[in-house]
This record gives sequence, C-alpha cells and structure tokens, in this order.
Amino acid sequence: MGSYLLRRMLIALVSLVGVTFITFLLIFLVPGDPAEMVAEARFGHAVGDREVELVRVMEGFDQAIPTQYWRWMGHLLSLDLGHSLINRKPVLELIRSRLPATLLLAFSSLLISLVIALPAGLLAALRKDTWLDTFARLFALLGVSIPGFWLSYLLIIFFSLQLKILPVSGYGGLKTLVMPSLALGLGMTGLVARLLRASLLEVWQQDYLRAARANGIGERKILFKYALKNAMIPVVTVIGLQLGMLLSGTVIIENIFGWPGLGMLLLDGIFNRDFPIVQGCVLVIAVCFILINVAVDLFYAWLDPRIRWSTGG
Amino acid sequence: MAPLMAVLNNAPMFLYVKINSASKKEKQGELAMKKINYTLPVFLLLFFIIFGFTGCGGNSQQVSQPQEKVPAELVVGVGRDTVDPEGGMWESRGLVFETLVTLDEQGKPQPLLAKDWEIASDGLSYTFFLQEGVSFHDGTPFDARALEENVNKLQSIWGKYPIKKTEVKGDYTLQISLYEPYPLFMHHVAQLARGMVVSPNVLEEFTVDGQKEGGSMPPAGMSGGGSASGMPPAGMGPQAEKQGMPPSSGMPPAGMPPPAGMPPAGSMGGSPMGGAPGGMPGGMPPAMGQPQVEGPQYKVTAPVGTGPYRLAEHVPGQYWVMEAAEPYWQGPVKIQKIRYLIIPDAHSRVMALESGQIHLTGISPLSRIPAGDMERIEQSKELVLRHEPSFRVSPIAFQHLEGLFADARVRAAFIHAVSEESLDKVLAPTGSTLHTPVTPASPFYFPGLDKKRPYDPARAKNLLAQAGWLPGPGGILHKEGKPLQVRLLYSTTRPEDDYLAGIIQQQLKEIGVELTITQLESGALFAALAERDFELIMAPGIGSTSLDFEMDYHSRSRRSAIADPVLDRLIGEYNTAPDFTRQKELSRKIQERILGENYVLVFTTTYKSYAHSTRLENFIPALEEEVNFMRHIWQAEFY
Repeated sequence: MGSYLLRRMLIALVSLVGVTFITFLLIFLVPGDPAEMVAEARFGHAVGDREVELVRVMEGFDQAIPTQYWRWMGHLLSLDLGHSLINRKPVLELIRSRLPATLLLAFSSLLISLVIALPAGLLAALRKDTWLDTFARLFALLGVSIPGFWLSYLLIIFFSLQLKILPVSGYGGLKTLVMPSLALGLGMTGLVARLLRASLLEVWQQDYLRAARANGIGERKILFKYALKNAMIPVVTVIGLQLGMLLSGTVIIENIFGWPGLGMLLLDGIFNRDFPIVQGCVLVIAVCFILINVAVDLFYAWLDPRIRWSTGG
Repeated sequence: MAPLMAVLNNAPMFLYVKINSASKKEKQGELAMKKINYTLPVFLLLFFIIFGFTGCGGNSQQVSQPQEKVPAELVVGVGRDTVDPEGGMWESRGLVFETLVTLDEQGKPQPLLAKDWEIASDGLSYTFFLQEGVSFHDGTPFDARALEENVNKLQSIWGKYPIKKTEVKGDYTLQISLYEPYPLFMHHVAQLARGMVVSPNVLEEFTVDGQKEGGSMPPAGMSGGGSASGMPPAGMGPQAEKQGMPPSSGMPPAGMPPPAGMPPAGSMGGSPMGGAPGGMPGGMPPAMGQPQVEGPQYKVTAPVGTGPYRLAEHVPGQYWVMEAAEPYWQGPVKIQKIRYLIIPDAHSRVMALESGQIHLTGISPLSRIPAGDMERIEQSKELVLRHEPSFRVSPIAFQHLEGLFADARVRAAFIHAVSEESLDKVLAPTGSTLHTPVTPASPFYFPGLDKKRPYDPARAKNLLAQAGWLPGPGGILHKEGKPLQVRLLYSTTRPEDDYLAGIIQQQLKEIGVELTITQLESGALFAALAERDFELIMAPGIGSTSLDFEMDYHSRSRRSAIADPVLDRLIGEYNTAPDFTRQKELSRKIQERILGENYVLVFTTTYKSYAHSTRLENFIPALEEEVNFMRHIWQAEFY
C-alpha cells in the first residue's frame, strides 16, 4: 500500500509541474501582446507605445521565457501567486475569499446528486425493465442531456418569476443555494444514476453473489455489503471527476446565479484581462483535480484490494 | 413548515420499513431484487428535496414586495464588482464624488461645487468661487485649500491639464493658472473621472519603488503625484515639449469607458481615471530610462467625497451598499439606501428585475440589457425601459494606408454598397448608425455634416470598375486575375456586431465583394489595430464628452485606424486651440476631413439603455456621464 501511495504521489507531482508550466504559458497563448494586455489593464485601453514598453520591462516580458518561468516558479514555491493587475490584492487572498462559496455549492450539488442518483440507480437496477426503471432512465437521460445554463434559466423562470419564492441571484441562506445546487446537481445525477444501474446489473450476475445467496446471506446484506461496494468503483471515478469540476467552480452556473465562487473570480479575471488571477485560478483548479484524482485512486484501492495487489503494493 | 419538515425527517424511516418488509419476503424464498419497494419513499424524497428547500432557511436577499408609498431600499443590478476597499469605485462613483461644475442638456457648464467662475480673456487662468458650507463625508470642510490639495496632489486627474500653478485667493476662491489655453477645461472638469473632488484626508503619500512588487502601488487610476506648482504634467507644458513627450491628450482620458463591456483600468480597484499606477505627472508612467518622478506621490485610500451617498458596506463579489450621507448640502436625500447587487449574467439581471429582486439595471456598459429581453421589459406594466443618447461612437474603418483601400474610389464604393437602413434594423433599439464621427448629443455635433450617404450599389460597382475591379468567375470582382476579397475584424464584446458583420458581408456580396468576417478576442483586435494589420476593422468605440479626437483618429494613437498627416495637424491645432469657439471650428474641420476622405465605412452608436421599476420615480440620468449616469439619483424617489 505504501509504495502504491508513493507512486500515486509521484505521478501527481509530475502532473503538478506540468500544470504550472501550462498555467505560466497561458498569458502567451492568448492572442495579442502580453505586455500590451497588462498595460491596458493598468493604464486603460488607450495605451501608448511607451506604456507598453514600460510594462514589458517592469514585468520582465522582455526576458527569455524559461527565465520568466523560473522566476514565476520561485514566487509560486513561496505560495506567492502574484497580485491582481486591477486592484493589486494578492491573488491567493482573493482565491481564499472565494473558496467557501465554491465549497458550499460543490458539496450541496454533490449531495443533491447523490441523494437522487444513488436511490434512482439502485431502483432502476433492482426494478429492471419495469416502468420505474424506464422512468429513472428517462430522468437520468434528461439530467445528462439538459445543458446546465438552460436548466438554470428554467429554474429561475419557475421558482423566481412564476412562483416568486426564490431570489434570482445572491449568496447567503438556503434560498439562494437551491437553484444553483439543483442546476449543477441534476446534471450530475443522470450520469451517476445511469452508471450505478449499469454497474449494479453487471455485478449482480457475478458468481460470488450467487455463492453468498447459497450461504444463506440475506438479500439486503448481499446488496449493500457485497454488490454495491463493487458496483461503486466506476461510480466513484465519475463522482471524483465531477467533484473536481464542482470545486473548480462552475463558471456558467456561478455567472447566472451571481454565486461569488472561484468560477466568478476566474470569469472576472478573464473579462478584466487580469492574468495573475486567471493563472492563479487555473492553477488552483488543476491542483484540485490532481488531489481528487489521488484521493479517488486511494479510494479505489480500499474498495477493491485487487487494485493495490496488482500494483505490487 | 413544521409538518413539511416532519415528513421530510421521517422519509428515511419509510425507506427502512420498506426494506425490512422486503427482508421478510426473502425468507419466503422470493428474489428480493424484484420485491423491494422503494417507489413511495423515493418519490417523496425527490419531492421534498426539490420543494422542501424552497420554504425554509434564511434569506439575505429577500424577494421584495410592493409597498404602499413607504420609502424603500433601491436595489441596482450590476454586472461586475467595481468597488475597491482602497477607495476606487466605478458604477457608484457619481454618488460619492462631485465636480466643480456639471453640464446641462446643451452641454453648457452649470454650477455645482463651484457656484461661479471667471475665465481670463487669454484663457490662461480660471478662478473658481466655491460653494460655502459644504463638507466632505469625513467632516473636512470643502474650501479653496481642499480643492488646491486635490489639484496639486491628485495628478491622475488634474495632471491631465496644463496646470502651471494654483493660488488661493480667499477661503472659497481658487485660481488655477495654465501653461497654455485649454478650451475644454470646463467641459472636462464637469466629468467625474476628470474632475472629481476627494477629501484631502484620503490622499496618502506612497512610494513608487513599490510598483514592481505590488506592495505600495495603488490600484490603477487611483494615483496622484508630484506637485502642480511649477511642474507641468507630461506632454502638457513647455518642459514636456522639450522632453519630446507626447501631449497628454493621447493618454487615456480619465474614466473613459471600455469598448463594449470591458471594464477600464481601475474599474475593479480605483476609479477608472486612467492614471498611471506610479502616479507620474500627467498620470503617465515615466519614459523608459528616465528617472522616476521627483516629489511625493499620492493615492486615494478611501471613497470620501462631498456627494449625497457614502459607501456603507462592501462584500466583494456579492454586493455593496451606499447610504445617504446627510446632511447633504444640496438638500434631503430621498432614497436613503442603495444596494448594488452583482449579477454577472445579463439575462439573469433582467429576470431579477422582472421578479422584483432588483429595481434598476443598465446603468453602465458592464450592466447592459440584452436587446432580446427588451421587448419583454416593454410589455411589463411594472417596468420602464428607456434609451438615452450616448457619446459613444464605433467606426468601422478602412486600412487606407496600403492595399485595396488606399484607393479612395474603392472606399467610396464600399460606402455606397452598405445600406444604413439594414444596419439600423439590427442595432435598434439599443443603437443606430451615424453619419458623423460624433453623436447628436455632443456639443460638437454639426447638423450640416449629418448627411446620409446614399445606398447605391450601381454606383458602387461603377466606382469599383473605375478602380479596375471587373466581374469575374463566381460573381466576384477580379483585378489582374485576383478576386476582390476583404477581411473584416471585429471584437467579441458586442453581441450585435455579429449581425452587423453578417449584413455587411451579404450587401458586399451583392456588388461582387467576398467579405470574410473574423471575430477576435479584444486583445488581438487591439493588437491588429496598433499594428494596422487589417483591411476593415470595427474599432472599439470611445464615448465621452471629452471629444478626444486624438485617441480615435490621430496616427500616433494605438487605437486609431487612421493615419493622415492633415488630420494629425488639425487634431494638434484642436488640442491647443485658444478658445472654445476656435476648437469647435477645428472639430468641424476634423470631422469634414474624416468624412471627406471616406476613412470610415460606417459609424455606429450605442444608446444608454436602462430599465427600472415603476416604483422608481423622478430619476433623471446625467447625460454628461458615459459610464455612470446615476449622479442625480438622490433626487429620485423609490417606494
């Protein structure tokens, strides 16, 4: 187990270094001269040649890219993500201030998704080919197919304009949490429910379950202790990936509901051409993904011991 | 509520009971998989998850209910958080700060913080007689010394003018002397971004050395520096001329709004005055290789002005609240509290307006109302939609220096090939085409120049034929075996530009021109403009009463699509005209030159479109402000 963990950590570390390089290059990948973009953010859109050259020297854009990268990495290692070009605040502080909103939305969406998807997937598998199964599958299909932004507008029209019971936008209290959580959670629900159903149906045919029944173990115990644990392996992968996406801030949903999370900060950064903000957000998002992937891998190993045996751990 | 929660709490119990009952059946040899009945509990669970939430929990943003003539909090929907704790703000700047004068509907200066003024006959000195009994929000009296401190320290604003010295002539009398005449001085200081007055107590000295590290560098546009006395701003005075510095008219005018939806410098932090962070004289950064500015530099550390409101609360990314700063010297403030709620999505903002969560939106380019939603607003009996004239003009310009459009006949042909009526249909109701470089709202608008250029495809073809472009394969005009292909560049920031580009493409096709349209991210568009790497370009529009022709039309501007020595000379004369009358004459010549040379395919303007609840009464927008026209909101009533 120890070497498995070590191996996963090493892979994560390599990924992190790759991510820092790509994140650093972001400003050079965007069309236009980076010095001009930064100058524009600082001086207004009517910058002259002199302002652009000033920024080029001040920000070191006149140096070789590897030199710039090492300097940037030096700051990064001391957890300095730079300062916003617009309000000069430390990027890390800005990201930290937005994390609670993102975490709240991510976990509430995940909760909604799991609370609906797990029973629905379970039910669809247990009641295969009945109307219940058809309904659950249809619901899952809708969940997967409906774009989040469209569902968001539907929810606003229904809850805010028709029923007038929820605010369109805002942050604070359950009422503001309902619609963004539903918009995010319902999309995820379909995927998880479909996957659980398919996985459970597959596992249900396995010999070890037949053996368990032959030994007189109750169906409930077979389902929850033996079948579901195995069936959850692919589901956990998907949940992990989705959680990564949720934690990274879902830009469109946050934008629609005015949810002050990481996604909105990122969008502000893009609109303002505030590259340190964009770089910082992208980096944090990438790190979230990597960490969640590691966690999912470890969870795999716990769910299915064959995984760690096969890797020599 | 209680029964609902009780049922919700009991839902897991139902599930448990059902599973238990299923277990009993297992003993009877039936396959449990077929027998466990989750139907009811799952449906109940789903129902309560979706609807249970809606009736419980706290709510910080209450859905407002109409009230009977009781003054209420006004909630304004905005697209971005434009408040900075260090004192900068954009969309509500006009509520906190005031200017010496304001402009009336004809563009004439009217008293505000200055009750009267005298302009010397040579145009080199302005004497302001200030209102008495006015105080800043921190209790500091507004007098000649306070104004002098502003002028001398806040160079990101006052450094833009050729100020030679200031002289206190009395407690409430200040004389400002200029190096050279500046005919637009009164018009410029009427704008918040170019003439707002802040409390001297919030002007804090800072070091430029911290610039690079970001430590002590003020937000963009919030800097000041140097001393006006004896030190001319960059490019303004004789010293600057000797240094070969460009005149400051080429610098970003303070508070100039960004091209369609983009916040300007300092919109997030600091007021968008366009000043350099380093607080260089004239708001300009130091020239490369030159020593940093001598003398102390100043930045604004808090939003403290003489206006009717003060910033009461700011929750970054969510909302900010302005509350009445009473006693206000002009009279009672009727709306005591204004909340700016940040709703980035434009459609959501409109729906928030329809639901009653917000009461006013569309107050700046960052809070635009989508044209597609306007019809719905117009149909609502509880909402009002208004379109006010704007100063913003966006030219679609030719690359006239080289290539196809160096031939004036080709430029004229293209102009005759585009029907303005068709474009107006697309732009309505939020804008229209123009026939002059300035809008009718401008004091430099000349009706005589406002002549519609005829849509005449036959004449267009004829002109192209004269230029050697003759019909070829596929209906496309050819010259020396090459097809007539043109590329139009435009930015992603204005949705209607997609349609404009499409219509122009279609109309040009009718005369045998193959137009490819390329949408660019604004950075790439600016780069193309600066490098003049385009054939046709929708240049980002600048809107301001500042009438800064240099930025849009001078060859040295990175935002100008035009490079014409004659125009450059005229703009130079315009910038240093001895008086307003002469400047107006020169502005006419500038416009005539732009129109006469056919440098622009078509001009478009965007109106200030805003919508509000009918509960908001007597709201008069301030036309002199391109960005924030809520300056007079204190006189409005909201119930």
